[in-house]
Amino acid sequence: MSPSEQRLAEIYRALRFVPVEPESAYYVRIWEDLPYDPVSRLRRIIVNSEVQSLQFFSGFAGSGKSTQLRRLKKELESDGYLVIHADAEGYLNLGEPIDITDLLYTLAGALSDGLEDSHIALKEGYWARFSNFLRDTKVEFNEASLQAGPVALKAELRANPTLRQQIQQHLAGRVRELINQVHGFVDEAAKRALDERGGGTRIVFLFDSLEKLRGSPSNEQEIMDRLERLFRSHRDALQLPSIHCVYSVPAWLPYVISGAQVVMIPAIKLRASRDSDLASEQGWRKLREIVERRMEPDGRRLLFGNPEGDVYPLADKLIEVSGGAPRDLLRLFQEAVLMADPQDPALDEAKIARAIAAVANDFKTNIEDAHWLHQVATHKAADLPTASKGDLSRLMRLLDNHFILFFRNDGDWYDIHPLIRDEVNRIVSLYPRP
Amino acid sequence: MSVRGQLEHPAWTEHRVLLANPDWRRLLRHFELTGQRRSDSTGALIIVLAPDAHIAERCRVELEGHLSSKLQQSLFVAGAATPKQLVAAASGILRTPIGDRTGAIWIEAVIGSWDPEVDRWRSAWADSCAKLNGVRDTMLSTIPVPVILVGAPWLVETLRLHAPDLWSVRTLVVRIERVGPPIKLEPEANRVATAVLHPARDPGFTLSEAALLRGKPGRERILVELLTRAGAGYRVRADWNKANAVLEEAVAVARAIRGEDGGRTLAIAINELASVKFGLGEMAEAMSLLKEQERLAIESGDRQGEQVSYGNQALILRSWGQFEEAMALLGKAQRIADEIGDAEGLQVAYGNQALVLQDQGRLDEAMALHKKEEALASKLGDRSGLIRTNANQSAILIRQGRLEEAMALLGKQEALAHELGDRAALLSAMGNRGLIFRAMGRLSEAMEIFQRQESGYLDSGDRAGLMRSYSNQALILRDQGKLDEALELHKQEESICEELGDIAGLAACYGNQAAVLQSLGQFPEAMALFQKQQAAARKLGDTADVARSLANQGALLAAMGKPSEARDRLAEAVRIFAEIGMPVEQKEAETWLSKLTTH
Repeated sequence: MSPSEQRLAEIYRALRFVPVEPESAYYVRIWEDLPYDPVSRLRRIIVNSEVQSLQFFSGFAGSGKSTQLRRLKKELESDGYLVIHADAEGYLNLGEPIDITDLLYTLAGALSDGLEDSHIALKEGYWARFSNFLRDTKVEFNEASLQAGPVALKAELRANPTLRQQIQQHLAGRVRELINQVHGFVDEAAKRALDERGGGTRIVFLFDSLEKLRGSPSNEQEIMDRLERLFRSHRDALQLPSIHCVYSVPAWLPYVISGAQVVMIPAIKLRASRDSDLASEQGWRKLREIVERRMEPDGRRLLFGNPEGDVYPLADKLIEVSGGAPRDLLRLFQEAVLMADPQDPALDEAKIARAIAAVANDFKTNIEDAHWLHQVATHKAADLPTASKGDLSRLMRLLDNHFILFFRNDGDWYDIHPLIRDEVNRIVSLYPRP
Repeated sequence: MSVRGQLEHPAWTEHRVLLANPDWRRLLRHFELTGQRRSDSTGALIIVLAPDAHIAERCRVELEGHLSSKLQQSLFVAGAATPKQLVAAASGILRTPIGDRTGAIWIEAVIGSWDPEVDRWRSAWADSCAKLNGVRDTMLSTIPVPVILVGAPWLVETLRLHAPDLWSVRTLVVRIERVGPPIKLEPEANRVATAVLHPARDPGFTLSEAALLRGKPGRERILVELLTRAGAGYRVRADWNKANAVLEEAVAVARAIRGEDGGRTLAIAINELASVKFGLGEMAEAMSLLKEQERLAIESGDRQGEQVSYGNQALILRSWGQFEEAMALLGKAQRIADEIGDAEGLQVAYGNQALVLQDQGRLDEAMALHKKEEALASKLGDRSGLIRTNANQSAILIRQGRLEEAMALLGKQEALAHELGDRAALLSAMGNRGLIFRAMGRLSEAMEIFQRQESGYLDSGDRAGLMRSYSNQALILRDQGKLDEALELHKQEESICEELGDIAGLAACYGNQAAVLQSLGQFPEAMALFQKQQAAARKLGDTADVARSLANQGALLAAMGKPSEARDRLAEAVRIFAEIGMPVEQKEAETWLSKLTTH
């Protein structure tokens, strides 16, 4: 491998989008210095609530939720909190509908695992206790796994939908009983942590990835309906006693449950505000920094030539069409690296245009959506045409796929992704609405 | 470089075409940049979209070869031969055995939207994507090699809808539209849908009848009808310039009397004029006319007119490469045909959708739609329709290198054409048979067929057909080294192209003549023709042909001992090839350029 090829390979790998820890060299303080900082808001409420709190957190795919949760963890730990961070992916089958009972024992089990990993010596872990609870309430299962003990139960619950369904059915009439059992366990665990750690140590429980509960065409609607019911009717049960809970939830939640407070991560603004065409200097600076952290100055010069002042004009072309979505930004730069010639890696306008075109290919739309997207671009708002679930799903799909981007200044506003703008204008002019 | 491509051994051609595909090169580049160091890799998600199983198979074989030869790695292919297996492969992704030499995991199920089983497969892909969505982070952090999902183009929509989290972490989306070479065939059977109108058999006579009515008040509607029929008659003969002049007049008169019949006469004239503009390559004008026709049809409740307009708009979108939009409009046309029970319209919609798929290289899907069209034509006893679909099916087979099968189908087409007395179809089948013989290297048989075809076209007065026949004969003569004779036929081809206003035909003809002249050592003459080719290509907006012409000029200038000018042309060609993503041609031009520099 030639030296320039070696350098290209390093840059290409560095541009991969993975959640980063705050101490990572790739970490950029995107929100810390801005008036709206989702993490500082979550943290403030935790600090001000003293004993316990319950907050929901969300963002559309690729907005950087997991990175921001890692930052929250780090900051709270430096404040002296014991932070347990768990991922729903490790506990739930995210393709199956869940109800309050599933979520409760999962939350308790994940918290229990986290405490044990943090060397808090619990009298009895939650999975053992849950196993006993099931036995005590005389659940009769055909599943051999129940006999194999708590560890097998945890794994089996994730992998075996039949077992989960049997438990759901069994616990359906015992929700109150289960809440008491879970809350009782959490009470004891929180006290234990306080005793062991001393100094008024409080627990913060971050439960990530619940927003990935989606299912397949056959059960998607059921999953949404059940989740809606769960958050509407059992909010109190989700507040684990003496614990500060932060759950990442689907971004549609505030749209279907009025008054549901969800702290959202917006995209990074490239323009100052909804009503201004002026560039947001802060936004541009942050986006440039995301790239700079992953691409040393020599790497930038290798690909983009010498800067004009601090700016690489060709790189800015990629930033401009990213729309402020970090994942799209990195994808555009990765594409540009793919276009670079190993012998002469310097990029030119044509190669940048090809990189943009390659990513833009993923942003194709149909006539119906194009008309809606055009409205969003014109009014900078994403009002639903009707209150139907179909329109809500469509909006969520467009947001998750970054066709629509969500921003925040004093209020929320929306715009369409720059990579789809030409396509939308073309379709709308070709197929005007009667 | 300007000479029309010859058929090669299909597998080798596919290998070459795939390697030249910019999207495929992105995929290989990804492996080059990541493949050597698996230790710090955290996996990747790659989506490969292929139009049919054959192309997917070719991609798999090529990737296996690349991994094995360049990285000493292998491809783990997860079995997905049934919908159940596909879901199982996705569900068990975290348990996939990854050996030290595994370079990637390949999960492939390419099912075209035409497949009767497609709904089951869509549902299986949706389930599979949902399952992968649920383990996205674990998959990317624990599987140290790329997971490659290989599906039909509709897989993107499935991912967006059912697995947006997974879709959001995609590393690459690679779209392979075709692996076969772009070759020149007899034109596809005419699929331009027209309103209810009988083209004049003798347009000159109809035009003289129309002349009697010009300027006579109250007779305008009949005048428009006659002009439109005459124009359509010229269109059928591919005499575009005459058709255009006559139909321009028809539309002008019809606009003046629009109120008389609710715009129906105007709509028919406009549709005809749009078809002619289409034939002349004036696409923007054709589109604007068709939009006007659509409005008129909607206003007057003329569902068939609406359907025809959508179908023809789709043909223009197709020529612009806007395949998805074209398919959407053809879908609309198909629904209207269904609604109003227009079986012929339905056939046209199937046939045109198949042609759009053919353009995209989605040959299996196109073939399936042609089969549907064929079934409908058989049911209706529409032998012309059968001929048309057979012709288009044989074109697909030729592109797939299935020459024997294509030959058999052309035999069927010829028999039907004989039965029906459809001389145009007969001559078209002969032309394609001639091309197959040429591809097989059976030049004298090919020549004999084209000469018979020439007589047929001379007899029928089909100038466009005659032009094609001359062109193909000239190429065979060139293959045989009979350069003077080849040149003579190219001259005849050129004069017909000029007569018909066929700029694309002219561009190709100039390029081929220039190549012959170059072989004959007549360099200045060759240069003049390459420049004319460049101008024609520029007029058509065909950037690739502009670049080819520049590259050829560069090579010629080098042969003429003018290295400095040669360098300029070649550098410009390289720049354009790079800009539009034609790496093979770019490389070739660069090689010439480097030879010049060396000397």
